[in-house]
Amino acid sequence: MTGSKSLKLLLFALVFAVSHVVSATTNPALAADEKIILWSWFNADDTCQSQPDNLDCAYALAILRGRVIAGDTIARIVTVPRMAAVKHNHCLRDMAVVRLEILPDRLDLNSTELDLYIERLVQSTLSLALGSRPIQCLQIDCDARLTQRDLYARYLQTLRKRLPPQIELSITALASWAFGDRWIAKANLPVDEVVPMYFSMGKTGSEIKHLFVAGKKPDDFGLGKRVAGLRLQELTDFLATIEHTSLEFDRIYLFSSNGWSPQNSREAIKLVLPLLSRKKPQ
Amino acid sequence: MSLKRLLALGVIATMTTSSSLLTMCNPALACGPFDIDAVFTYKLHPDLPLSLYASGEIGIVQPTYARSYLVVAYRYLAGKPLSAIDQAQAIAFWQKRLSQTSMDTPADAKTWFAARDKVLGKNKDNEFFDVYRTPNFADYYGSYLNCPPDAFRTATNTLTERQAKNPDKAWLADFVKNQDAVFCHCRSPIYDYKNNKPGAEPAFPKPAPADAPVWVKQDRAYQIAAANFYAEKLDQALKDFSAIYLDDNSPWQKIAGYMRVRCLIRKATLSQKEGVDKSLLQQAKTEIDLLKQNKRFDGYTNMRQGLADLESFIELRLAPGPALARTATYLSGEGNKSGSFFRHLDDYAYLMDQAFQEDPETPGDQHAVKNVDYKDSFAGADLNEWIRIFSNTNKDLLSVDIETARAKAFSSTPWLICYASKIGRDAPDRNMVIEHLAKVDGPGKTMARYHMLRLSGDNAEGGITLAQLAGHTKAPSSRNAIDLVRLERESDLERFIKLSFASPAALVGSYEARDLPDDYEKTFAPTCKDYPVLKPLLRPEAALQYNFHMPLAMWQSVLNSANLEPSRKADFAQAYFVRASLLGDWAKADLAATILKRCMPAQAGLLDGYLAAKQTPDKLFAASYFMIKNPGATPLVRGGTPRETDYARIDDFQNNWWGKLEPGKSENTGLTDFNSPVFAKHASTASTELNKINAHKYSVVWLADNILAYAATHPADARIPEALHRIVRATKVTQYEDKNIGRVSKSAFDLLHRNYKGNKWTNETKVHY
Repeated sequence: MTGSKSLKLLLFALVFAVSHVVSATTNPALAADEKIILWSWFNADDTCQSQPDNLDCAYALAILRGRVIAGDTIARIVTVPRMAAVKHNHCLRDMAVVRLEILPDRLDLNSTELDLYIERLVQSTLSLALGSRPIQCLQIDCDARLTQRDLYARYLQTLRKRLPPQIELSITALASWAFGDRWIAKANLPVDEVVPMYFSMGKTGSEIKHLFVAGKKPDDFGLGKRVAGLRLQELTDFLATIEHTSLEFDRIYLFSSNGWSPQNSREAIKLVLPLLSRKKPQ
Repeated sequence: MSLKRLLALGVIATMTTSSSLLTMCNPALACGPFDIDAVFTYKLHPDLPLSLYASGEIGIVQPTYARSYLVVAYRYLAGKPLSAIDQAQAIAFWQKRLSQTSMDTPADAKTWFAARDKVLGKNKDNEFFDVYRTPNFADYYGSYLNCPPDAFRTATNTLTERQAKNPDKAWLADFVKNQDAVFCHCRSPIYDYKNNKPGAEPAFPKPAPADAPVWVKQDRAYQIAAANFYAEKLDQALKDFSAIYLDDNSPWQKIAGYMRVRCLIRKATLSQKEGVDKSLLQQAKTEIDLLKQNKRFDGYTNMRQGLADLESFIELRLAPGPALARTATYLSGEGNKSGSFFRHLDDYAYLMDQAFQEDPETPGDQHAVKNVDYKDSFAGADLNEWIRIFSNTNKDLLSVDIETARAKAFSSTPWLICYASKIGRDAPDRNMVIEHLAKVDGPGKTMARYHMLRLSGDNAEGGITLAQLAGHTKAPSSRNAIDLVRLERESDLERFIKLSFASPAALVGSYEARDLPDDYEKTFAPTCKDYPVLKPLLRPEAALQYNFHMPLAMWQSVLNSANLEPSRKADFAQAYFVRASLLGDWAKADLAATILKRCMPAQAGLLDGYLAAKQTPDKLFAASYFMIKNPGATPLVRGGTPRETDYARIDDFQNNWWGKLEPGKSENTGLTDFNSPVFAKHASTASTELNKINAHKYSVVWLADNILAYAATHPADARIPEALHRIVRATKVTQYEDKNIGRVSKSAFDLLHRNYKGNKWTNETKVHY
């Protein structure tokens, strides 16, 4: 084998290996230009006329459908649907979010019970996410503790199998998962997107800030795109933190504690536009 | 306006017009990481069990309570206590509002499915049955309860009756099959992803064959009507129910009359995305009036409650202003006593949200009547204005609101309390307010005395001290609010230490945005008559003082104090040890290590190793070795719940070692620092020490540099390999970083593999970070 052929083979193998660190569906559902996504949480949001003037439609809505709250047994899994309406205009692509809250650190279940428990979590999730209107992407919001990671990984794997193949799977992540914590890649999670949330970081907040200031780039989880979750009420602080870095993001999710109005959503989009990467996301 | 309130038509017997299913949910707290937090004073609701509050133990009412609690507070302050029946109704209301409303298969549905499975065999699809539907608007993402529990109860009861009277299995199976064809419309059809098109509505029941028994035909007609109702084919459903209502022979005739009204109301609420069709609601009201005159069914007397609920639902939307006036009068304890306290609280909560145009889940801190439908009637009820002004917590409170409160303060106890809660010690009429507060008796006494003492600036006023007031107060939230004032004013160290520890009102998972402990439902049991008594914890406000205002010289006194909670002594001792090490005060570090040995016997070996060291470099290394082995090591004491993970283990959420010490307001706790008289004269020393600590590199780097420096001159020290391994591990798991993390990680790794080949710690250190 010639040197150049072996090099090409090596490169191919590397690319192949990297692309299988985190498996993904083949059809990216969210358009490349949907770089700004507003999280519509429990509030009755109104994002009509949110796109800034002279700008093409550049945002989408990720709408919380409800919460799955899981206790220590199958019987204690509760599903709480969203009830509030959302107002939006034509810039909408349908992305469902389901929040998963696993309460116990560890489950005392045998393997059959655990299988049923996971199955129930998945059923609950699907009942919230899959409605009469099609969705392009399902995002799971779950702050899995260290002791819950195996369970969470199994849940995601089961969920991916049950989801129609054309629906992408996205997950939120703790900020710390994007800095040195490789568990997502190691667990081979079947996700197409990971969204670290750089807000309400609690005790880790100032340390994450130091990392940004020091120029450390957050992980892209082997997905070739860097995504951030930000909060409107902390945007100014975040922008100041990364002001002197070259950090860019391929997609930004925005959350507002008090919900969205046409005014604040427009302002938020304007503020984060400069953070977006000019290169096309993969 | 969200559709949730419009569409939550519940059971026949009781109506759920409010259905603020995620009441008091603050989504801002819904993102992790989640800990167990200690709540010392509830913000959103009174102490549990709520029965005590309902009975008049209102304690110190917070302006941030949900409005239904403020209604009850107003009643007691105004000298109009709730009757036993009204108390029970209030408790039932709060229990309903606080329950997690689940879309899981309700109990009555499970009973139905068990009954139908006996006839047709098990249907696995029913294991997780969705009773919620999404309205068919292009961009509406809420749900409404489509098939309430009574629908399933009716189905079960009907099947039971038919089985008793008609043993023909074929027809019974037919009945059940067609009932399946009713309930399958409870939820919206799921999108067909395989064929990329909207999901089709499942099949509907078909009319019974001509040769079917009469009962089958009559039941079938009702099933068809019900299926159309659940499938939102409301015009057809109305026709179907009307036909049944005209059939004098149908056993469903009476209920069909009621269901006609339901059709009109549902159509009124589902015909448009926002608001309601008022003409349809008016039509529904007319139909209700006709039902009440229906002599054949005795004016629907045995469905009076159900009809009253429907009427209330209509009235709130057709004439909200008068509805608010009526319900406020009732809740104030005046006027007509028709209706139930539960119903009026439910209506009131909804109407006030509408008046303020607020989402119940994010009520805001300043309230104004924005909805023109309410402007005339709002001010007519003292209760409304009192709640509005009392719950205004915005710092930029309109001066006219304060003036309104002041104008009424000296002739009304509710207004006196309201006014007192808004002013500070600099208010020109402070003394007059204090004088009036001293005279308040009854349920408002605790709150009056609290504000009196708060405004006086002293610990004693009007014949009572803060300590005495706290001693008389059983409700933990109120007692802790009083003790916080004492803590802020305390100038004696021993008393300060004693006040540093308090029994919290609850331990709450921070994922739980309603400020409720996991087992809160148990507090609704009639046998639950006492406040919980939880283990005392260090108040976060006190922790701020120790951490940022107390000089090193005082730590020993705190540790020697008999008022220091024994369970927290280890935390204080380790903080003292770490702090002294950071400051290079080895004499104090020795004292700390001696105490720490007693508190953490498992660490005795390590601490003995430290104590055995005599020279500074040896002590610095030994202290660093101790700290690198214990990720819980920090110069700070932790307020609230202690670190859950063992001191010697890595914490899941990376609460390991320490970062920069930054006093001041904590974003997550909302605490504000204060100038404690105990530490005031030591401010300069404390500040100097803090600066010195912060001048060190970030903790893991500082520890690593200490260890690496020692390793360079003491390569044979048996502790070195493990210490180097721990450095590398620490750099992996901690997100605390500065630009030196990579350097120390590599340095430790290289040194291990270069000088300690074959050592077990080297073998365990495969990579650096």
